Amino acid sequence: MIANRITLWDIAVISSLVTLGVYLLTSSGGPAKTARTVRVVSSNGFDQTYIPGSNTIVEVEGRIGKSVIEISEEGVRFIDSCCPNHFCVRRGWVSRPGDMVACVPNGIVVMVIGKSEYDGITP
Amino acid sequence: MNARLTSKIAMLSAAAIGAYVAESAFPMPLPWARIGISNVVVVVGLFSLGLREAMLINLVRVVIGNLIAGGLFGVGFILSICGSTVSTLAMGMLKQLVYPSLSLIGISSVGASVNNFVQIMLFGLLIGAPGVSGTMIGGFLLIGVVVGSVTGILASLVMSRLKLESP
Repeated sequence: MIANRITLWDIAVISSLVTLGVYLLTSSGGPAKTARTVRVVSSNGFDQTYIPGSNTIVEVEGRIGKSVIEISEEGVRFIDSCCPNHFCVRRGWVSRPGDMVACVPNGIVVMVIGKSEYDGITP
Repeated sequence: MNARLTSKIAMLSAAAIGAYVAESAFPMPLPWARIGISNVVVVVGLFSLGLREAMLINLVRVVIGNLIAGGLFGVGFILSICGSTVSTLAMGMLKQLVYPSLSLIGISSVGASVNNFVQIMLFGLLIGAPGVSGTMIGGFLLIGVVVGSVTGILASLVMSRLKLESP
């Protein structure tokens, strides 16, 4: 009774509204714009907190050598590290509170501090 | 405005006020959020009488409904009257332009989305911008589409049961 009253246009309009709604609902998961800081910790005692904003390049001495870390508006990443596999460099940018990258061989951890968007994985 | 039309507007307004007050008794997450059954009456008014009549029914329903349920000239009232007025206008325009290719159900879902969108934006303006995010707008849009489709289906059932003709 209702089915024959729904037109193709109805379906088109309703599905585009749903798509727009779902897009808006899910798209704000981009780089977080909340207040956050970046903390860099090394096994040799280095422990510094940075405010992401202006591009900063930090060279940190770790257990086996030097790691180069970049902190910017985008978040934080390892540019280079003396470790054998460069997993930390390949991880790329992390930006959301709760995210972290570790260079295990060199004993360096960088983490984004702030109000986490997720429950349960706050460092 | 002849007597027949006046009494039709009055009856629909009464039905809308009844639904409006009744649904404000249900607990909702936000104090002024509503299920939207009274929108069925506005949609029926729009399609059986016309845009001016629907605007009138909507105005009467919001003012008298809030007068009875409490909250006249409060935040909820302002959101409600702005959202539903813009939404009724939008539905009236769609009815002129694309009805019946876009049926009552599609028009009603657009109307409800417009209503929710206007209300959330206005809410953001009233309480200050940082409260409203894309996520919130998306959520309200989705609720609007669902509620609007249901409203449209109900309105079209009501119209066929009452054998109301679209002018």
